Amino acid sequence: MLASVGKTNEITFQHGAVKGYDRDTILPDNVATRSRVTLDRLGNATTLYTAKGLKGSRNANFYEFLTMGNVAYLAGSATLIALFNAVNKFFPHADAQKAGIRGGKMALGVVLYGVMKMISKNFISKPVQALTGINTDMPYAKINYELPDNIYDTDITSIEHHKVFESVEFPRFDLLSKDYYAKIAKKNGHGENLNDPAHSVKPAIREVISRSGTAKNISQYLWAAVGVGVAMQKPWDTFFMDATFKFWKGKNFINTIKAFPKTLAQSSAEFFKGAKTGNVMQRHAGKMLLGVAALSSVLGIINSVVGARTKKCHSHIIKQDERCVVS
Amino acid sequence: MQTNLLQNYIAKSTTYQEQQKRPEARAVDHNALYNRTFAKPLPPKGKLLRGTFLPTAFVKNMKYNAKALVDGAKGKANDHQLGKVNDVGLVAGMGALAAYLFTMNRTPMKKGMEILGPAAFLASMAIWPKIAIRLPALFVHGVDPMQKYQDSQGRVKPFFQDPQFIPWDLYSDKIMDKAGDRLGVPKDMPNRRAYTQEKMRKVAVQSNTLWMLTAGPATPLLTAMICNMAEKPLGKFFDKQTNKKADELLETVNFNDTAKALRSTKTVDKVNEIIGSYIDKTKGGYIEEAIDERTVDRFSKLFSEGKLSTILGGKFKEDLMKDMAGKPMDEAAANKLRNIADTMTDFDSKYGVLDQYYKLKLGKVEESVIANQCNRTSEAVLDSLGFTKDDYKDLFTLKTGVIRREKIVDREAVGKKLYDKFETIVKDEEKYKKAMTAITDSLKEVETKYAGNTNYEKYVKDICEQAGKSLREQGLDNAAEEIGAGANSLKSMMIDNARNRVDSLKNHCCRLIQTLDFFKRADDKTKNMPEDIVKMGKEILAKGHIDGQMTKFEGTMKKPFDFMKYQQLMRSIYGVGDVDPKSADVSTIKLLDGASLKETFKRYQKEMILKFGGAEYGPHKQHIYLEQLKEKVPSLKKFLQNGIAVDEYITTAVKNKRNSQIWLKTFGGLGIALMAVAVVAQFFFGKVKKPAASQEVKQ
Repeated sequence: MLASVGKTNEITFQHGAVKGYDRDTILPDNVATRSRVTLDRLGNATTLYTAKGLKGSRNANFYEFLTMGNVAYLAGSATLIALFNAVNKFFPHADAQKAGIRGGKMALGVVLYGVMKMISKNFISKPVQALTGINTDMPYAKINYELPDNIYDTDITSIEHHKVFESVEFPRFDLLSKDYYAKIAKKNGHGENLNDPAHSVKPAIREVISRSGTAKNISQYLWAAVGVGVAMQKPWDTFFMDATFKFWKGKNFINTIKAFPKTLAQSSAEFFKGAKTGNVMQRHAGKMLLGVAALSSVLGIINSVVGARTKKCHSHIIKQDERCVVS
Repeated sequence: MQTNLLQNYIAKSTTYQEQQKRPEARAVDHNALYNRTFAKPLPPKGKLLRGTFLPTAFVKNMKYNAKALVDGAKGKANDHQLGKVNDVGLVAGMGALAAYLFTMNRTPMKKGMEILGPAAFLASMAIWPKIAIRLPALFVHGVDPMQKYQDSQGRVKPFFQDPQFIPWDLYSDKIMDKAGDRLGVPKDMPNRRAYTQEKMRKVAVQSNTLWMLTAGPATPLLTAMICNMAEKPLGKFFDKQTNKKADELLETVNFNDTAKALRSTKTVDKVNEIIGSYIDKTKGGYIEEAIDERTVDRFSKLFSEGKLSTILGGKFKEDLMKDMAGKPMDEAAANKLRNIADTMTDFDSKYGVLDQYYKLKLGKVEESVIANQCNRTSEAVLDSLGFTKDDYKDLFTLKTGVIRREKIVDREAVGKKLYDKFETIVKDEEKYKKAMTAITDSLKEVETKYAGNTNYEKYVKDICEQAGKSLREQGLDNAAEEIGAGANSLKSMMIDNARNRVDSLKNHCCRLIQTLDFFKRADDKTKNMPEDIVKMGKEILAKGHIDGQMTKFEGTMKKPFDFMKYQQLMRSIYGVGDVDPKSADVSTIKLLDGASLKETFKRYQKEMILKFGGAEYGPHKQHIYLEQLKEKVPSLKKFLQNGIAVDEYITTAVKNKRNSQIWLKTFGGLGIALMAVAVVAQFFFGKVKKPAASQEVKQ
């Protein structure tokens, strides 16, 4: 058995299977794993996968192509920040100051876009996991067997980081144990002590993948828009007038760090309150955007939980607690 | 010894060894064939799709994407649909962000750019791979790395998306043959199809990798370029719309409808509320309590709310204190107050409409019609004076400031360059005509666009005089005076403000015309203008502020003022204001005639002589007396008449142009470099080793 579900609902893994995997292995879903996976993917995307792709290697696959998307994303963000900041120092002082404030806000907008996009997925996946027991972000390490470059090439394996439920059509059910299915079945009201809990749980998992995936795909961009909206508020004008991220400037740098959370709080409040004058849209746009983003997350959670708990129509035909043979 | 994996497998694999021992295991089961059923796989329905260079994919697939969203929410989506839902999310997020930022901005141009930005970003994401990856690959190799196909389930997918699962069966032998010819594969090569496929696969993988590497920096760059290019035409469009909106406000029906919409019953309701506090609710009738000063103050504030409070508040208080303070409230007083409230409600609503017109057309705000006009004029003048990229670079010098070394545009250097430009232009008729035409076109535009101001003045006069008359009938003489009569009334102030805004721009254009004309006449030796007059005239016209006028004229304050010399200078520049060959160059007169601006320029010259060159100017440096009116000309009038110094004006314009230039040079250059890399890289893609002659594999 590759994995088992313990009392705390966490997936435990075989001893010593994290380093030097000998088979596809489910990993613990925690900050350490996520950080390690992120660094691994980024590192490979900028070096190994790029080299393989540019060489046109036979082993360049879809996973590597998608991972290189992170490079595009980071390079694009850096370029967008540079567009508004890189040439300001060549302007006359007064113009440079004004441009600097605008550039600072744009840079912050780019950063908050990425941060909100990343963390907003957890607004759906964590509650869904808590309510249904299904962790849609469950990571696993996949051993990929490559074609040898030549007849004497022995280095033909690589590790890819995937999620057990990243595909709705081909989820890695083979990595999951009967205990896991039993736990999910119990949590979602499919029944206890079932002979074949996987039979009723698998369709439910597919539903959750589809519903929560849809909700995440929509809500992440709405939350990202909220992040940008917060970055465009007036309190940041004062912040960026004096701010410096040059850490060698000592006191100024520390003051900047100290002022950041306060300005973030003020800007968030301004974003929510909206303009003091103007029409209804102008006064309440921030609330509306925040409301739509929050609503998309809440509806996504509800929809996913409903999907997990709805028994399929054929479930009443087959009695779950009776032995049966499926040919 | 190096490990040979293939031989290891052959040695260890039991299945392979067993099969070798039992050839009959590979024999065909004929009985099975006779007992076969007719169930067989459905024929494949996949097909290759023709590509397009337009970024229309999202629009074309909207129906599929909408269904994907619904299926995803229902829990029925497949992986392909979930991928499309991500695209829907991206567009929805961009739309939400654009809508939010749209509400944050108040001016039409900024609102427009908030919509254009996300649209340009999405378009750039679609356009970049087509022009930088697909087009060069097609040109160099004849391979489309972005080839799309439709699978048997009707799903549209990129053909080379997964290099390890490419549906080559969609390419017929005939098409593959052609592809091989294009790729330069020898016709007699064994396994030609396989080799061609490998070359195509390699080109596609390398191209897609290049796409991933370049799309990141390229998309924002392309977006910025699109927005930069669209700024001017968009600005023109919104300027037209703003001008139209402003002019339409003054059409009678629109004026009245807008005034009606702005009308508020707040003042009337509050006045009635205060009056109501003086009514005895049990017995009816008014209570004996006198109207105190605080109540009078409240009334006066109600009647002069908002922008009118500073102008009228004091006058209402003055009149009401005299009329009502200390006296009891009665029906007559109550009716008087109600009438005043009605008058001011009506006035406020109409004033609101005129205020809207003023802001749109003449306001000291971004994107008002007049502000856009100023920006266009400065661009046109810079171009017509022949400023080049190198000029901007030269004028943008590094100067040691007090606190820091900073890049500035040195006004003195601009002045010197300006002189050079003027002196070059006046020697060439074509260049002179081009420069003058740019300025006369601007001046003509000002004359035409602000012709509607007479309508504005008429409305101001009507509403102020009407309100004044009504207030006078109620006994509020001071307030009536302040609104509708006298040199310092609201009416005069509104009319003057509007005229000043337009006149200052007109005078600025006229000053440019005058400067060029003077330089041309100074260059003409037949005119015999004295050298000192020429030098002083050029200084005053090109560099003089109103106070600088005197300082630039012959040295310091300590010297006695040479009145005769000053008069000679004024006559040399402006003549007597007749715009005749004695005081203006023939080409200037011809151009002004052609643009029907001769009268406008005449008026300008006459005003200049009156306000700056008149008989009384010398002894009274700060103000002059207008003989006819016997009154001083205030500094503001002089400033508006004189216009901004030409060198200062050009300095600001050069600075703005140089800032744009630096930005464009840096990022435009980066974009071009990226494109070049993407195109050149194609020539290094698709290199596949030709297979060696086959050998028998020894077992």
